[in-house]
Amino acid sequence: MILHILTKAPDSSASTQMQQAIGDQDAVLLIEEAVTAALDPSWAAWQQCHTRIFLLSEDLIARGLASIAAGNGLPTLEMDGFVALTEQYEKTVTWY
Amino acid sequence: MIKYGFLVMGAPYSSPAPHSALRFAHAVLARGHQIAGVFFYHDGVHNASSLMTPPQDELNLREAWTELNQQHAVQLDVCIAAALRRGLMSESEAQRHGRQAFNIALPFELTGLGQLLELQQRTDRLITFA
Repeated sequence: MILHILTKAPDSSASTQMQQAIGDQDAVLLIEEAVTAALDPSWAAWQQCHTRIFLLSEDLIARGLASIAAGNGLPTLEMDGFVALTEQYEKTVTWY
Repeated sequence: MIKYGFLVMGAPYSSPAPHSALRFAHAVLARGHQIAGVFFYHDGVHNASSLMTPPQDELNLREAWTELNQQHAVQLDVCIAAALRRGLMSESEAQRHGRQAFNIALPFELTGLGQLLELQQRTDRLITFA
């Protein structure tokens, strides 16, 4: 059980590498540039991880993407929820 | 209570990593956990520069880290090899290398990479911000 933290856009090599590494029990948190994934609801990782992938809401708001994420029905977490994920998952990997 | 350690590799004002780490740090503390230390590596060493002088209406990252140290006893370790390469050094390193100035001072400490391993060993979670 690993928490993958992606900091780069969905079309980055970091993202491609992460998608290859995600296991069945793993979760994904999209932060910083990675929140631009909100613009693309057809991105493969949304299907791949459906119940275990989240956008960091503060970073969405900073980029003016919060309403787009909500409109596309994508799951978000506050910073508090980020901490909760790290409580649940003992191992984290940051992709950058 | 979970003990956290952070590895920060992003430079201030060019990477969002230090901001993310600081915001995460305050959320960790708010949930009643502990932060044992932060290890600054690669371009992250610039977070420690005592000459950092952003405009007054902007967050001063070095001061924000210092506050974390003073209020929550968070150890702030800076990789010495990464720092010296980038022109960051303490007073004693400046003397050793014959430099006229220094820009690393307490609570930041220049340490070796071994301290990162030590941080990982004495914490329950090590989170990378890069």
